[in-house]
This record gives sequence, structure tokens and C-alpha cells, in this order.
Amino acid sequence: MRLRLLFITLSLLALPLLAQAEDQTVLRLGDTAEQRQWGTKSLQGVLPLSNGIRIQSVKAGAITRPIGLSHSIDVIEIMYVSPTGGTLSFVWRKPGDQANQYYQLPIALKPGTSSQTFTLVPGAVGNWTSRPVGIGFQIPAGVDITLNTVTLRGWSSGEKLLEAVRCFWSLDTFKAHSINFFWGPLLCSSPQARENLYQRQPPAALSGMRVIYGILILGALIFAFLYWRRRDRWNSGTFLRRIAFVTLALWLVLDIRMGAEHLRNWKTDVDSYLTKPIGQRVFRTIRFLPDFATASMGLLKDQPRYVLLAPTTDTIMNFMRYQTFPSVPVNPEDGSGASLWFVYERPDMTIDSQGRIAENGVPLSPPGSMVHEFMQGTYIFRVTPPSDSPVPQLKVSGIRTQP
Amino acid sequence: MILLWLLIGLLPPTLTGWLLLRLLEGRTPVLFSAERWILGFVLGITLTMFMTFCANVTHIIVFTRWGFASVQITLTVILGIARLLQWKLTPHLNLNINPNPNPPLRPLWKIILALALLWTLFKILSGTLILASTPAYFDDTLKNWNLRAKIFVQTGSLDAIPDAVGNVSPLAGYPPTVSLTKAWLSALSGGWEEGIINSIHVLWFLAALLLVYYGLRRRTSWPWALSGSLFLASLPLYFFHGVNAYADVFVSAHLFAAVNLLWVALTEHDARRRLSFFRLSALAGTLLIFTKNEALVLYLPLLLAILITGVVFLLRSGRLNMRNATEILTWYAGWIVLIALPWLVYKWTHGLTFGNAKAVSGTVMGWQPGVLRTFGINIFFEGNWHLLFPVLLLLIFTRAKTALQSSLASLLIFVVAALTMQLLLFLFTSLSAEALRQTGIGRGFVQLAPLIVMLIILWVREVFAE
Repeated sequence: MRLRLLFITLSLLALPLLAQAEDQTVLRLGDTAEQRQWGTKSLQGVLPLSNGIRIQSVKAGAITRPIGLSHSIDVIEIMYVSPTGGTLSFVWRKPGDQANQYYQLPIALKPGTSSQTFTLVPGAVGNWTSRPVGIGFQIPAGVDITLNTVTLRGWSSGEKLLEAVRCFWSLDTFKAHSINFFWGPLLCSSPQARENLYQRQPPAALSGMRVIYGILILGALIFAFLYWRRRDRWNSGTFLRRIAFVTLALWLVLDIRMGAEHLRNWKTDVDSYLTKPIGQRVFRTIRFLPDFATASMGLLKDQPRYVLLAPTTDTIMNFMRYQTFPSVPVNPEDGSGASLWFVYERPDMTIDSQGRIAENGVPLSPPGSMVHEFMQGTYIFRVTPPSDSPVPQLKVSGIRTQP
Repeated sequence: MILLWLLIGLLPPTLTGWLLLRLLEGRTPVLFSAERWILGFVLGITLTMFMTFCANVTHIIVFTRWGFASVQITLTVILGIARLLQWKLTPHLNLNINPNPNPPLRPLWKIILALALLWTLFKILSGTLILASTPAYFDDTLKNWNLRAKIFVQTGSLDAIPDAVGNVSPLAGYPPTVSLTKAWLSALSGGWEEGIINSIHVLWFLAALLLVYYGLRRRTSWPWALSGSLFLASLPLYFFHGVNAYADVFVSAHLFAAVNLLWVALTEHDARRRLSFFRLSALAGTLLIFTKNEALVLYLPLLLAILITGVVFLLRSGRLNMRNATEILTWYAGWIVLIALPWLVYKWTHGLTFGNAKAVSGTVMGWQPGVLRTFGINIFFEGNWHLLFPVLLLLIFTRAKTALQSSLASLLIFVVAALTMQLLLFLFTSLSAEALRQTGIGRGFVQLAPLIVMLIILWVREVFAE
């Protein structure tokens, strides 16, 4: 009875944690008052503007400011304009550290002439604190950047807890590494981190197994306490059975989590591949390759080898080698004498005025022509044979071509 | 249609396996009836493909439908006649082994087990559907198991596999059982049907689950045995390998059969049953050679070390006489000569490697930083093994002394030694690259997972029994 009362009281006390909204502080670097907060070190070419602070760095240096917010910082959004782009570092100082002691996290900013936003989720980065006393940027030489705003966003403990639960149940998709390992349940503390959870490899998040071990250890401590309190009624068997029961329950939770991941991915296979008509099927990371390979099989099978041009080679090369055996795919550098080029998802490749496949204007293939286009950037290219060779008949199976 | 071809294709090797197992059991049948069929399926395929390999390299057959079938028909006929003679000459025995009694089970546990069973079957069914109806996707399927099968069936021989620029691929050094089985199914069905070629892997997975069930059933009641199979099927990486065209679950079934039979033989009290188990374990242990390279260089030496230590221990304790010990070692030596010799001669004469896609001879020794951390992440902080390794380590740290004095000793020693050897290989050799990329670590654990699960189930049961 007393335990039930305690549980209800604690639940009621926890409610405000969940109700508190997201906090946000926007540092507008165009404001004069804000500009006065920032200080530089070894940095030249710093110019305060009405829309931000422009830095044209001649040599490497840093620009920092002290900070003391009432809310935690979980996500940092940097709005900038940078014609050069570059790899900067976001830097921060922890409470209690010396004034010049900063930790840094590299960030790669894309070049562009209009405003862009870079979102940084540092939660799983070592030495990060959600309550830093100083922030800033380490800027290498040769960078031209205008920092417009820095938005610091934070969530309450309750919201972070909810996000962590949602994150735990966020599921990964099948990737080439899935046969070797699964990232498994992960923990994060913001919606931004959750939305991009498995896009970065390795994910910038903590393992969800920490929670599992935490519950297990807490359970063991509680049962050890109860065992000590109820020595007259409990024996070691009672204690062990309870530990085993908690382990089993956590095992089941993990199995549901990982089983759901498998089932969700298989459902994706059903929806994107098995139930779609041939020619429109998409299969995992190799997308249209199975259908394009099937459509091209008649042509490729007649060749001892053919050149493969694809965005990545490993899986695609292995797939094509297996599918078209005994015809062997080779890289362009080994493709001398091959009469067919299998080009897959390379819209960046162009056919130049002399009928050659070219990359950035550099010809890769001998002159020839496209004989079967599956979709833009995905086609079979036949090298024009010398004038004294007979032209072989084309055999393309009748699969619908992508518009 | 897939099921029909699988049934037709797998019946002869399974029958071969069953007949050989029954012959080896002799007057003392020790296997459960269903267990004999499952072991017959696992070992029969490997034995049949080994004989097919021998017939091919000696130019007796090529890999055509009738080439494969002729080996299988010959084996079935020879073993069938032998079994007929055995049946005529020996008393007709009741093949049903009395299993352990089942204690009453609470309704709650019955419901939990039923739900877990349904969930597991649903997952296996879904995985099978996808495996049978989608293209091969993962790398080793594409560049090794399925590609080699295609080469075998199209060239009709074991010609070394050339890579893209004509060099001999190191993959040619892998034992060809898995690929030969696929080649047989393809030759039988008269085409290259991914559904048929890949579905065999699910059957190896189910065989491993059932072997664990019967392995546990020999020592426990059905709820514990079923729990073992369900725990094994729930391990995400093991399950995922089970429903994909990879060879490590296939190895795991062989390794489980070999170690389980040896462990039962070493702990069996009845002398005749013990000899029967030893004969079976000799076959299963030696067939490991023809599964994957690591079985030859890692598991077989360990198995033989435990066999010799166990036999010496049994001799000293008076539970085995010298005649029986000689008989046991002769069975092992005989099978090793019969299976290892042709395969090793073939490898040496063709200049093939003994490592796992990398030559063992080219391995560089020395401490490899980062490997221990990667191991820790793989087994404790990723979604591969649930709580398998924390539970195993907890039991080892708290109960190892008791276990080493119990019947679990040889099983525990094998599991710990195999895990340690794998760890040391990655920690001190240039194979560490496989560990750091996490391409090699998981495979070894998949191969050992059935044994680890059986060990944990029996151990936990012992702890509760105390």
C-alpha cells in the first residue's frame, strides 16, 4: 500500500517535467550588442556586418563568446553564408575549465552564396556538456564565412526522456553491414537527433543497451535489498528467480525491438519490390539494379566482359558479377577492348560531341552510342566497332523503361 | 514448386545421413528418432557433397544432374545394403529413446512459451518469404556461396574461381559444400532459381534450432529445451544469418552436432551408449573440415584436444578400458584420414589458402589496438546478441568453479577456449582488420551461438536446481 502511494506521488511530481516546452535562444550575430560578446584569437579579417559577422581568415584562429543560459543546449543550428565552405570546428568550454581550454568538434560547411543552416547534435560527443560556459568556432586559414545566427535549443528532462524512448524504438534499415552487425536500440535526446539517427555511420547516439543494463543493475540492487530485508521469507533461490525474471523480461523487450526492425524492413521489401511491377521495383540500397540487370542480361551474356560504371563499386560489382556470370564486369581502367558499358545511376556522366562517355569533360570510353536507356543516367552503351567488324544484333528483353 | 525441388533434392542426402548414423549407432541407438533425421539432413548433405567433390576431382563425374545423382544413388544403395545387413544380423531394437520426464508447468509459462513460439515462427516465415523471393543482396552470398555454385553448375567442375582480372580468387580455398549443395539443387531443377538456391539456408537454420532442442531434451524437460531453441532463434544476428544465404549457421549446426555428441559421450555413464556417441561424434567432428576453413584450423584441433583429454580422464577414472579407448581414437583417425586427406591434398596441389579468404601464412603477429573495444561494443552495446554475453560472463565469473566440477566442464571448456582463441586471433594478428570493421567478429559468434545457448540453459537450470 505504501509503495503504491509512493509511486502515485512520484508520478504526479514528474508531470511538470513532461509538460515543459522546448527552450530556444537565438544569437543574432548582426546585432551590435551580440557582436560585442564575441572575441577573437589569432583571427584576422573579421568584419561586423548588419546581417552577421564575416570572417575572411588569412590564418587559423578562433572566435568565441561566453555563455550562461537558463536552459540546456541539445541542438545547435548555425545559419551562415560561405562562398568557400570549409571544415571548421565548433568549440565549447565546460564549467570549471580554464579560460582558454576548449573542446572541439569538426563541422564540414558546404559552400554557397545564399544562407544555409548546419544542424549540430552533440549529445553523444565525448566531453560535451549541455551547459557550456563558452562557445565559438575554430576557423582554418582561407575560409570566407558570414555567421548569421546561432540557435541554441534545449529540451526539458521529461521531453528528453520521451525522446530517448522514441529513439530506442526508432528502427534502422537494411544496409550492407546488417549481415555483420546491427546498431541496435539507440538513445538520443532531441527530435533532430532521432530524425537523422541512422543516416550517419556510426550514429551519433548512445547505445540503448545502457538503459537495459541500468534497469538490470537497479533490479539486482532492489532485490538484494529485499533479500536482506526479508531474510526470513526469501532464500537465494527467490533472489535468483527474480533476477532471472527481470533478465527474461528485458530479453523479450529487446527481441520485440529487433524483431520489429526485421519485420519493418521486410515490409519495405514487400512494398517497394515484391508488389511493384517489373521496371518500377526498388530493392534496398541497390535500388533499380536488379531490374536493370535483368533487362540487360540478353546483351551482357554474349560478352566475355563489360565495363561497369556505378556510383559505388563493391556491392554493385559483386551483384553484377554474380548475375551475369560468365560475363565479367570490369572497372573502366581494365576495360580496354570491351564493347559494352553498363552505366548505372550516373546522371553526372555525359555523352560528348564525339559520342564518348565523359566525366567532367574527360572522355572515359571510346566513341559509341546508347543502346538501351532504363532511366536518366542508367543505360547500356555500345562502343562503335571498327568499320571492318560485323555489327552484332541487339537483344534487349522487353522490360518497361522508366519514363 | 520450391518446396517440391527441395524435397526431391534433399531426400537422398538426408537418407544417406540417416543410414550412416544408424549404422554407426549399431546395437545401441542413442539418438531421438527426429534428431536422427535432422542430423542425417545436416551431416548427410555434407558427406554427400564431400563424396561428390572426390568423384569430381578424380574425373569420375562432372557437376550435372546425373553426376550429382549418381553419387547420391551409389551412396544410398551402399549404405542401404549395409543397413539391411545390420538389421538382419542384429536384434531389432526399439529406436525410441525415453526423454527426460516433464514436470508440471504453470499456465503463465505455457502462455509465455506459446507466444514466444508463435512470434519466432512468424519471424522465420517472414524471413523465409523474403529470402526466397528477392535477389541475393549481401556480399558473401554474391561473391562466394552463390557465385561459386553458379560456376560449378555452369562449368561442371571445381575450376579455381578467377577474379575480374583473371587471378585465382582466395575464395576457391573455401570448402565447397554449401556451393555444391546449391549447384545440386540448380542442376536438379534445371535452372537457376534464387528461391530454391537460397531456401536451403533456412532449413539449416531450422535444423540448428531443432538440434539444440534435442540436445537439451536429452538433459532437461521440454520447456527448458524449447526455451533454448527460442532463445537461440531470438538472437538477432544468428536469426538474420539463418534467413540469409550465409554459411555460418550451417557451420554452427555442424559444430553443435560435433561438440554436443562428444560432450554427451564424455559424460555418459553407460559404456555401450558412450561408445555409440563417440562413433557419432567422430563423424560429425571430422565433417567439420568440409564446412569452412576455420573449422579445420580452429575448431577441430580444439575438439581433438578435448577428446584426448577426456579419453585419458575416462581411462584414469576406470570408466573406459584401453580397448575401447583405442576403438574411439581409431574411429576419429579413420574419419580424419578419409575426409581431411583428400581435401588437404586438393588444397595443397592447387595452391589454395587455409585462412578465411586470407592465407594463414601471410598473417602478421603483434598487438592490435582497438580490437578489444570493438569486441566489447559488438557483444555488449549493439543489437546483435541481446543479453547472451552478459549472462554468459556472469555465470563464468560466479559459477565457473562449480561448473568445472560438474558434467558441464568439457562443454564450458570448449566454448571458453573457442571464444578465447577467436579473441586472441583478432587481438594479436593482422586479422584484426576483420574485427575492427566488424566483418569477422560476428561470424565466429554465430558459429558458437547454439553451444553457448545450450551451455547457459543447462547452467541456469543447475543454478535453480541448487
